[in-house]
This record gives sequence, structure tokens and C-alpha cells, in this order.
Amino acid sequence: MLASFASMPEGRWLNVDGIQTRYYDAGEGAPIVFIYGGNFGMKDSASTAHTWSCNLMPLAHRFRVVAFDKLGQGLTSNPKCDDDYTMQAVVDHAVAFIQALGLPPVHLVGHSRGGFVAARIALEHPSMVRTLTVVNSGTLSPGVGTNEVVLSNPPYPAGSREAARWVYENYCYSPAAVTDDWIDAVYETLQSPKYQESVRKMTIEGLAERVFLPQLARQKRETLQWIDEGRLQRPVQIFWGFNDRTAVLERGLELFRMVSRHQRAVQFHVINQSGHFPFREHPDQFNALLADFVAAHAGPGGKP
Amino acid sequence: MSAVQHQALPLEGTVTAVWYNRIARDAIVLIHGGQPGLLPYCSGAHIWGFSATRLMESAAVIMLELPGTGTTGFSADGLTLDGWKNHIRTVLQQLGTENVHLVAHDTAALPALLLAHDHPHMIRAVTVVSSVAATPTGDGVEKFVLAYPPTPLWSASSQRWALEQVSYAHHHVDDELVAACVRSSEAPAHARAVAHMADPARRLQWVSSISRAKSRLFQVCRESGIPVPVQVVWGTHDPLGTVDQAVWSYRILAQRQPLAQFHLINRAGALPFREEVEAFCRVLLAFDDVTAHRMRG
Repeated sequence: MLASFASMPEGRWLNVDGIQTRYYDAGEGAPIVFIYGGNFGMKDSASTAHTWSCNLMPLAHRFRVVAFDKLGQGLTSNPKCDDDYTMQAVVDHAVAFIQALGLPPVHLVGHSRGGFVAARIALEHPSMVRTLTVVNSGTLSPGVGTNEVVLSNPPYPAGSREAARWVYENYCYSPAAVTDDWIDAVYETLQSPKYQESVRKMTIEGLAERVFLPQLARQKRETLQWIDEGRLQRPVQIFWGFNDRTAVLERGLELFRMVSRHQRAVQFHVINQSGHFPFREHPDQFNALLADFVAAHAGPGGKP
Repeated sequence: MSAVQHQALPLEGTVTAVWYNRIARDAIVLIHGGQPGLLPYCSGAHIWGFSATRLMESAAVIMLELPGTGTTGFSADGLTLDGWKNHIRTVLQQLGTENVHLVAHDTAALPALLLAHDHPHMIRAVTVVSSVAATPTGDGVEKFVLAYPPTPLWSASSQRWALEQVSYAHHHVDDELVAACVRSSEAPAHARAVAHMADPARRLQWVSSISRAKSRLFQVCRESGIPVPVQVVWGTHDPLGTVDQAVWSYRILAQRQPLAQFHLINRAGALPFREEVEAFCRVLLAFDDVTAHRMRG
């Protein structure tokens, strides 16, 4: 069981089509739904909703903020079958979760692989989405990804706390941004039997190479094609940490060019001395820009 | 801009026009760009248009005019970027401000950044807006965007042409803006600036001052850095400068200043604060909040 983090709203559970889903919900007003990155079965890192601990409560003063553990990540149940170890299953679960909460059109914030999930929701279910915020998403961007160049084979035992810290320190501009509470949340997930099962499936059983990555590659091709065709028809803002070595600035600029060709309400923001996690590395700057964007694109009369 | 007040400050023999809704010590100070007597449209405080109105809804905003523009007087010494920097400093001192957020467009970004370096106690942040002057010259390609303005120069039709040339879309170039530009061109300071720049030696003095300021800025950024938070705001379709130039401007400024942001305003040219008022003001106010909070905190 994860420790209770003072900076997070109280955790809740929701059964989403048979998947026990952990989520955090606070505040009132226009709903912002946060989708973190990574995927199930990664052996040295494990994102959870706690990734947003610097953002939820500060923004809850003005908005309803919702963060949830994605399919097979954090405390949420693993996919029901091997064929569901796909990004599409993650997208479908996120859609079902938002629908189960009965939210009006939401402001989606997606980081890294979560940016891909958020963009797919905006493309597949535009009526569910009011705006889209993408943060350092190499998965959604065209060009060469460099995660593996930077993060492969940590110099510590696989799945250890030290390996996890090493991974996140290499993601970030400054190691000081990698706080103990963050690594606590990651390590507790890494140790859980449920998560270990997904690691076994993705690595030893080879679901990563057989199922997850090929399906993601097909879906990414389709997604970029859809964006190029102008199907992303919601206000978009793209954040980028200037010093991210895993998803370099040029990839963000290229994504911005693709989106902004078809859509007027698109912005691009770069934050200095930030790696892959600008919302954790500089939360005050990130929160100020996100709050203004959401407020500007709230519904008629400022209603959600 | 009904809430806007106007004041004419007598500064070292040069009357200087300032407009404001409220003079607060930590105000946002808008500084127009341009090249008096050279640029085929007359910039001035009027260039900020609805952005100024929008910003005044939630902040204390001061707009000042630089020597050789509008109703501000002319002084030959003032027509260099060093002169502009001294002018900005003197105006701020006279107004009694401290810790202001300078928002500088085009050429004015260079004196604003150097002023922040030389007098950081006076300035809490700088926003650089569409300033090709603050980007590397490199071995650039000649630009023809404003090469052949229709005559008579600085007439309403000529200035409308120039404003449309530097824009993404023409819609913001309304009669009110053109009339304000024409009023500025009819002021005595403009005629004197034109005569001043007609002298090749004096024109060279102005151009050289830009080169010197640019070199000094790059040295400062390389060695000690701009000591206050800085952001670069750029229109994606700026006919005068590419996004690549904008990113380089940001790279240079971000070298040694931790709090540095970069923002692209979509479907805007060289006057993004006119073409995308809401998007521009949101970015500006979010940065202003962060820097003001840090100053207090």
C-alpha cells in the first residue's frame, strides 16, 4: 500500500469496466484531468499519480483536479488479458474512467506517454475534451526518441530504489528535483506484486516486443497522420523542458508546427533548467501558465 | 483606454510622454520598439493597443515613449541604444518605480536587457517581444519586407502598408492604429529624427549602437547572465525574424538565467501583442505573477 502523501488529495477507488482504478479528486470548477507518462512493466521506473503532487493542490483552489493511475500502473489493476497490454487499452481505460466520473468536457494534461494518451482521447472523443496540454511528449512527437540512449542499463540492480533514483535524476535537469517522496512512490509501486507481474509479462514473456511496441508504432503513425490532417481540433498548449535529453526541444517544436498549422489556439512554452518533468521541476511556472490557459478556455460564463 | 492617464515628464531638457493607469513601484512597463526616422511606420505607446487595456484590468501598467517618437522630444544624443537605455532609466527613476517588469518590443529589447544587467535593483523581469535586434546577426540573408514602402513616406497609406507587411494578418491594422501612427509622424520629434537619420554619419551612429549593444548583450549572457528572470515571446509568422532566430535568442538568454521562458504565439507576426491579444496577455501575466511572487517571497 502506498504511503499517504500530504501533498496529494485523498485517494479513492472506482471500478471502471472491471478495472479497480485509483484516483485523486479535489477542488471545484472546470475539470482538469492529469495523465502521467510511462507504461506498465518498466523495470526501473514506475510513474504514479503522485507524479502530479506539485500541481494538484495548488490548482485545486481554482479548478477541479483529477489524477488517476493508468491501466496497470500505480495502484490500478493490470490489463485483464495479454492482448490488452497495449496503448489502445490504456486509452480506452482512460476514456471509460472519465466517463464513469460523469465529467463535462475536460481540460486534459498529458505528460510524456500520457501526452500521447491525452491526444488520442482528443482525437477519438473530441466531445469529451475542452483543451489539451501536452508536456514533453516524445511519444507524441515526430523524430528520434533518445530515452534509451540516456536511461538504458542503470548502474544499480534492476528494480532497486537506487536504479529508480538514477533514472529520474537523468530525466531531470537537477538531481535536487528528485525528492524522496517521489522515489518513495515509485519504489513502492515497483515492489508491489501486481506491478512485478506486469514487469514479468512485458520482459520475460516478451509482451513489450510482441504486443505493446508494435501496436504503439502503428498507432503513432496513425496519430501523426491524423494530426497532420488537422483532426486535432481543440485548443492546445505544448510545454517543453529546455534541457530534456530524452525528448529534445526540436521534437517539441516539430510537434507544435504540425498542430499549429491547422489550429489557431495553439501555444508553445519552454521552461529553462528543466528536463523531462517541468511540472515538478518548476511547478510555480507550470501552474501559472496552466491555470491561465484553462481559465481562458473555460466554458461560457466561466462554467466548466 | 479611458482609464489611461497621460503625463509629460521634463527630463534633462527632453519632454517625455508616459501613459499609465496606476504608477506602482512594481508596475509592468511597456516599451515600444522601432527605429525613429527609418522605420516606415511610427511606433510609440499607441502600438500596444488592446493589450495595454487588457493588462490594465489586472495590473499597474506604464507605457513610455522613447526619444524621437510621438510627443516625446528629440535629442541627438538620445538616438542611440545607449541613449535609449539612459532614457528608460531616467524615466523610471523620475516615476519612483522599483522592481518593474520591462516588456520591450523589437529594438527596445536590447536597452531593456542591458538596463536589467546594469541596474538589477530597478528591474524584476524582462519580457523580450519579437526582437530581431537581440538575435545573432550571423551572415544573415537580406530581408526585403520593408524595402520599398509606398510614397509619400509616413502617410496613412504608407504606414498601413508597413504595418501589414510585418503582420500575419491585416485585421489588427485598423483606422485607429493608422491614425495614431500618422499623428506620431506629424509630431516635431519625428521630423527631426528623419532629418537626423538622413545624415549618413548619424545613421551609422545609430546602426553601430545596435551592433555594440548586441555584442555587449551576448558577452553578458555568456559571462554573468542577465540577473533577472527573462522570457522571449515570438509570433510564429513573424516576417522579420524566424522561429529559429527566436529559439537562438532564448538559448542565449537562458545560458545563465535559471528563470527563463520561451513562448510562441501562433498565427502572429512581428506585433503578436496586437494580433493575439489574449494569448499574449496570458503568457505575460503568468510570468509576471511568478516573478512578482518570487520577489515578495
